[in-house]
Amino acid sequence: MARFVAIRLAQAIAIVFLVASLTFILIHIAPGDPTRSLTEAPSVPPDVRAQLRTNFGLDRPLLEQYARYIGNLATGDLGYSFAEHRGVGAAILERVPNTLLLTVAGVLIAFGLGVPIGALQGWRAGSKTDHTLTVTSLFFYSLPVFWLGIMLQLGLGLGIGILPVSGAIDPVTHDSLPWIGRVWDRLAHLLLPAITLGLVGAAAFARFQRSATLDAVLQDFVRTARGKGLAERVILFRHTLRAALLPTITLFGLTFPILLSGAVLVETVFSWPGMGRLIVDSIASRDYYVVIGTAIVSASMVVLGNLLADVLYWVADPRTRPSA
Amino acid sequence: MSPVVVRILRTTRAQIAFGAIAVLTGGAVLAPLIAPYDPIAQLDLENLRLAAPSMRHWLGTDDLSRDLLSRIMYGARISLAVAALSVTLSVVCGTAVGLAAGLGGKTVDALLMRLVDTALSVPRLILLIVVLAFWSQISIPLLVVVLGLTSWFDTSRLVRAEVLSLRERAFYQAAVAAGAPTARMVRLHVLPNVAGPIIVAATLGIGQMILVEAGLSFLGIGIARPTPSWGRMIAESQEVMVNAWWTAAFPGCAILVTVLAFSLLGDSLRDALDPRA
Repeated sequence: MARFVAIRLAQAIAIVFLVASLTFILIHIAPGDPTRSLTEAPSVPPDVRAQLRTNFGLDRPLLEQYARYIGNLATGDLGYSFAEHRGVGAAILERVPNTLLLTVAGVLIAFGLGVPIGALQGWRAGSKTDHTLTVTSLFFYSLPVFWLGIMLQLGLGLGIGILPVSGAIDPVTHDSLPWIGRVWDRLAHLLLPAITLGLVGAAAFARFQRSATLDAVLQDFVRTARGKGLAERVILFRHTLRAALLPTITLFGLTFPILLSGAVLVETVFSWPGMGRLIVDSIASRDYYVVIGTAIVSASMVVLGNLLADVLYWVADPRTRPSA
Repeated sequence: MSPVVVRILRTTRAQIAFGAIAVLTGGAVLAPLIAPYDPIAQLDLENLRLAAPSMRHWLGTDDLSRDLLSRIMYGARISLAVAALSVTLSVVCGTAVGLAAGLGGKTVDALLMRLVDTALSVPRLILLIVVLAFWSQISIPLLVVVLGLTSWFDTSRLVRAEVLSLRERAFYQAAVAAGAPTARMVRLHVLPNVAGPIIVAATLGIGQMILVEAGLSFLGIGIARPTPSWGRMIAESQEVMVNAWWTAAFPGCAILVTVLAFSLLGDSLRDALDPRA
C-alpha cells in the first residue's frame, strides 16, 4: 500500500505542476500586468514604470518568466506579492489555518447533519418523511451560500445580536481575555460562517447519502438479514449503514473543492481572514502571484484530500486495497 | 408526445418546476415590455432612496432609488441567458471529450482524463477567479465562454463512463464486428444511450451555473455595470441591508426560486429517465 501512496503522491505533484502552468498561462492571456494599478496613476513617471517592470522581470519574454516561476516554485517560492510587499508563501500560510478551520467546521456540520438525514430518507424511501426532507435538502442545495450568510447575519447576528457577524476574533478585547474567553471568542466568531457553509454542504451530503442508502437497502445481504428475522435496528445500523457509508468517504474527497469554493464566498461575507478573502482582495490590487499561489495551494489541498479519501476507503473496505 | 415527457409532466414537482421556469423566462424575455420602470434609472434620489415595498414599488427601491422589481426582471435575462448558453457549451465540450476519451484508445483516454483530473483539483470558483480576475471589462460572450469551458469536466466523465460500459455490450460489439463506422456507431448507439444522463446533468447544471454566476458577480467579477445582475445586487445591499432588508432579501429569493425550479426539474427528469434512481 505504501508504494501506491507514493505513486499517488507523485501524481499529485504532477497535478500541482500542471495547475501552476495552466494558471500562469491563463493569467497572462488576460490583458494588463501587475504593475498596472501602480502605473495607471498619472503621477508615476514612465521611467519609474519601466524600472518597476524590470525589477519584477515583467519585461522578459513570457517563456523566461514561466521558466523562472516554475524554477522558484520547485524550491517552494511562490513569488512576490505586490500589494502585501512580502512573499506570497508567507501571505498565504498566514491565512491557511483560518480557511482550514472554517472548512473543517463546515464539513463536520455538513456530515453530522447530512449523513443521518440522507440515511433516514433512503431507509424510509417514498414515505412522507422522505418527501419532506427531499424538498428541504433541495431548498438548501439551491440556496446561494453568500446570500444564506447575509440572511443569517441579518437574523442571528444583527437582528438578535447574539453572535458576532464579522472577523475571526474580536480585535479589541481578544488578547486581554483569559484563555477560556479567547476560545469562546473564536468559537462565537466561527459559528455563523461555519453554519452557513455546513448547511449548504449538508444538503449535498443528504442527497448523496439517500441514494447510497437506497442502493444498500436493495442488496442481497439486507434481504438475508431480514430473512433471518433480525431486528430492523440491527439491519439498519449493522448491515445497511455500514455498506452505505463507503460511498460517503468518496464524497468527502469530492466535497472538499466545493467547500473551498464556498469558503471564498463565505469568507467575503463574514470578513473571515482566510485564503478566499486573500484571493478576492488580490483581484482588486491585480496581485498576480497571490492569485496563482492561492490556486496552487488550494489544488494541493484538494489533491491531498482525495488521497486521504482513497486511503480511508482502503481502510474501510479491504477489497478495494491495491494488491502488491 | 413521448411517453417519457408525459410521465414527467404528470408529477406535481415537475409541474411546479415547469410553471416557475415558464414565469421566470417569460418575465425575463418580456422585461422591456412589462417591467414597471427602467432598471438603471435613478428615479428620485431625494425621496425614493431605499423606499420600502409599496404599491408603487412592489419590491421597494435600492440605495440609488432604482426599482428593485425591474432590476430583478432585467437581472433574470442575464442569469438565465448566461446559464443556458454556458451549459450548452459545456455539454457540447464534455460530450466531445467524453466520446474522444471513450473511443479514442488508451493514450488519448489517459491524456484527457489526466487533464480533467487536473482541472477538477482546482476549486471551481478559484479557477474562475484565476481566469476572469484580470479582465477589466467582462462581457456576456466572455463570461459564457469561460463558464462553459470550465464546467465540462463532469459531463466528459459521465459520457466516457457510459461509452466504456456500452463498449462491453453485445449489440455494440456485434455492430463493430459487422464493420459499422465509428461516426455511425456514435450517432445510432452511443448518443441515444448517453442522452438521458446528459439531459439530467444539464438541467441540474443550469441551476448550479446560475449560482456560480451570481457568486462571481457578488465578488465583483461578473457582467460589467450598469447591467443589473442578481449577485451584484446582493453585494451592493450589504452596506444598507440593516435599514433596508428588502434590498438583500428579494434578489436572493429570485436566485433561490430559479435554482430550485431547475433542481426540481432535474430531479424529476432523473426519476423518469433513470429507473435505477
